[in-house]
Amino acid sequence: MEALRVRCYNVRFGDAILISIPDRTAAGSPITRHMLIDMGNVLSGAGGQDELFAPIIQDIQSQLRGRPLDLYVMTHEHLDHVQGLPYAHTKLGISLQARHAWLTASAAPDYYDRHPEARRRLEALRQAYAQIERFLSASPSLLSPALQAVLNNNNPRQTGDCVDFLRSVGRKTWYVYRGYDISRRPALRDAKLEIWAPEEDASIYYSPILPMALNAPADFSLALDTLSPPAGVDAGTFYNLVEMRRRGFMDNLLAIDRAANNTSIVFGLEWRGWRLLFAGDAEIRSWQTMFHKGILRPVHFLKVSHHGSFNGLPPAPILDTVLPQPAPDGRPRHAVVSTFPGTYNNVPDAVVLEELAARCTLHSTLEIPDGAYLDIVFPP
Amino acid sequence: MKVRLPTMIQDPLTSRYKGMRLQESFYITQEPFFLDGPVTMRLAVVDFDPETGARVPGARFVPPAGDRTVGYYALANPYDIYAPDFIQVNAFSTVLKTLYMFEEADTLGRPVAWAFGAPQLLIVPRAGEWANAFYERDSHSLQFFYFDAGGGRIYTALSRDIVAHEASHAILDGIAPDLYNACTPQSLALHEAIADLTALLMAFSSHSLRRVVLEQTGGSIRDSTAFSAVAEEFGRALDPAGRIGYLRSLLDPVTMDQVPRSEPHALSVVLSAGLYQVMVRLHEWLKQRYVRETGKPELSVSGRALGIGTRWFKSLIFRALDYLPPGEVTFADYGRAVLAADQALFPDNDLLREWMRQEFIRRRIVSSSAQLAVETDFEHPALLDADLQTLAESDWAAYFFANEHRDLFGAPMNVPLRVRPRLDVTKRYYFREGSRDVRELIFKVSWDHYEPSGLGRPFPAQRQITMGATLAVDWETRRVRARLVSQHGQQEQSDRDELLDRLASAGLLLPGAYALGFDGKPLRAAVRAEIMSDELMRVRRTANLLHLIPEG
Repeated sequence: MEALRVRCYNVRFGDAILISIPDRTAAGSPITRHMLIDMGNVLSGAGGQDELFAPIIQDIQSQLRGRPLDLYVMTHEHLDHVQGLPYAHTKLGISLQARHAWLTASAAPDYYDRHPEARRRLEALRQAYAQIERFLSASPSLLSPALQAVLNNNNPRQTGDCVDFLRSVGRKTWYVYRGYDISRRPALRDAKLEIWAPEEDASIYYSPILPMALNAPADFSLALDTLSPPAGVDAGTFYNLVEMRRRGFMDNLLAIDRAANNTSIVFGLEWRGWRLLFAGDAEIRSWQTMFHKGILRPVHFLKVSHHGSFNGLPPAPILDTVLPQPAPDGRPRHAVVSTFPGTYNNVPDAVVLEELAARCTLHSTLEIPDGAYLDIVFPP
Repeated sequence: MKVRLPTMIQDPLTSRYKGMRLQESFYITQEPFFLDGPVTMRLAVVDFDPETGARVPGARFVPPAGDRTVGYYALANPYDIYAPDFIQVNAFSTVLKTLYMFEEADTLGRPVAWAFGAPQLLIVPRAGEWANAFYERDSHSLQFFYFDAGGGRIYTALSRDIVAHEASHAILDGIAPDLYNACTPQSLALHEAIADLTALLMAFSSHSLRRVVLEQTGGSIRDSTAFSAVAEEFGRALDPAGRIGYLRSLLDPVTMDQVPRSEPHALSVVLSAGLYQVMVRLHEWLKQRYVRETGKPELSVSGRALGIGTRWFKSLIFRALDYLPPGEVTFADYGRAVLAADQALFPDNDLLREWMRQEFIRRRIVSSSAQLAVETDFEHPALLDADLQTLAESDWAAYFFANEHRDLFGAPMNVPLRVRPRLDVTKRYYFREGSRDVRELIFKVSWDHYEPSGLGRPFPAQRQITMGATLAVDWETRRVRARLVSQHGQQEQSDRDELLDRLASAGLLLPGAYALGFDGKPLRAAVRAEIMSDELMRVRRTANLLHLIPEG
């Protein structure tokens, strides 16, 4: 194999990407290095089909030919990125091993002991999540498929179990951030890896939360004894107020989702003049930070962030930096989106895909069958 | 029915360190009914138990009976300001007092309607634990939160500054509803400046506070922070060493070139502090006049000067709001509106208008007096035979008139016009020989303006904003008392670009469905770019920036 290949599997709503890089051993012999980025999909609805992992992992094993992965990357702590390998191990009895594993910095067991501000903010988000979960379990009528998907994806208990499993996928596990020393982790001779995000202090990604008044059930008729309008106040206006007071839970749930997305490991890979960008699910805050730090450069490949949502698309000036028009060196450019409709609200977004397609060749897992893959090849 | 209501003079901390009592009484007679809550025709307190979410019974109303001619709200302990019933009644009385301040005959001269089109503004006095308070149009409510700091609990509903500030957002939303969706930073800053000045005027309106402060300052408001610091307890609790959150100083000498042009809170201080300086000059001028007239020392006339000055100042800054053109406005638009209001109030005395011009130039809001020129007191043939009553009552007649006489409104040709509900106001004017009521027809028209959005995909390339004109017509003479037309140039467009770019970059401005929750209704804190077509958007709920979006 002489070309670098990015293989993107269709896991429905989630990510599983295998990068195969032509490289050399210490003795100068040719060797192909394999890196797996994420493996998972959402737990609910049609976007989550766990039986897809079997053929995908078998394909990866066949590529590895009995060797371990050189690197496994867990970009961030969301089920649609982490639950595939634990599922395959416990339910299918198949496993992948890696020489090195990168997990996002904030997944380190002692991370929040070292970062008290991040701990304070995370605890506020977790507390909000617990309140929302309790409220929705008492109000199942509110649980639309999209809401269920976001709720499941951010479940800290389930995600925590998966992350615990993933700590042992690599013989050596590194909790990485921008500036972390990744030299020889793994050792690559012809390719160069560079971490662009997240920042070590993840508290910058945690938004403040809105107050939520979730004490009353969603169906007001179940709480008429404690929640009726005072004399002289229109009942419709009163119940609108009660509903509005709790509506912050949707903002907060999205803020929780956003925070995890923004802790994504974003890294660049350079090989023989090609520059590839794997963006995890980075959202606007992470893109802004990378932009202001002056890290971003034009690339030939973009792993589209967050499954083609508006939130994952870099704002216009940043996109112009990453995928300027026209391409600065005339080489072909590609982007790949791993997505599935009807899972998250408005994802994938047609306008986002249109914008990317105007700048490069856009590939989508929607074009291939479940469990299949598409390859993007970069010749030497 | 006459009703007595207690109201906090300032806030618990500030009252204590100024050596003042905490509360004073406020008597009202205008409301058609009172119910437990308090609940009246236009305001209703809705209190919830912070722990259980259950609605808490409101304070009980005791109507006049027998020899007792004054009604009141029965409080379990009238001196316990932290009791739920006191907090309920205080929030209510402060909002009501603020509302009256706007509506009085020497101010707007009309009742204010809420922007949400329903009769009652709901007041939630203990909305939950958070260092914040806000007005929210969608829930028809003012929400006051509480938080723990310095070993105690701070109730924002007990701060007169904060309650008046938030109430004024609701009132201003009724007067100038387009500001809620404005994307010109100065439009949003105007909301904030008026809210801060309302809190100031509420302070001036308190006889107890006036007396204490003037005694402490030797009769001057020039250098004292006693009046000019907004929401002291709140600010000190959050940041004992500095000035953050609500704690803004109206003594700030800041000018337009010293603040970010897209940051409404910082911008607002340029205007509010500038207007405060005009108030200071007015107070000094009135004091000197009364000293000359009475021979009394400055301190003894300072209270009267502040009382009279406050009425004058209040008339100007609030009446100007009715004169604002609809849609996006700038500080200069507001300045012109204040000058027009003063011209109507004191046609022969240019003193205050000159101070205004000087302050606007000094603060670099405008570069010359010419930019504040406003057309007042002129005749137009179209109005001589017009049936003003019909124009006031009939949308069709008003539209036909505006369309026929676009020149009168300064409206461009070939753009569709919208007529706004006309206002029939009767304002009181004071002269040496007494007062006179003047009836005005306030007639507003608006039109859409299109400009590049500058945001890049997925936002559409163009944005729609609202521009307009206001005509104030003397009902008796049919002369135009003021005509104000939107005046926006490249700078304002660039300011809008900067604000929207900042919001988009922060993930706060969301296009189309991204601003909606899982149930398809708007997210609570999002600013929404409504996608009208592939090429056109308009922005909604920018006022969330002022009211709801927490600091990051």
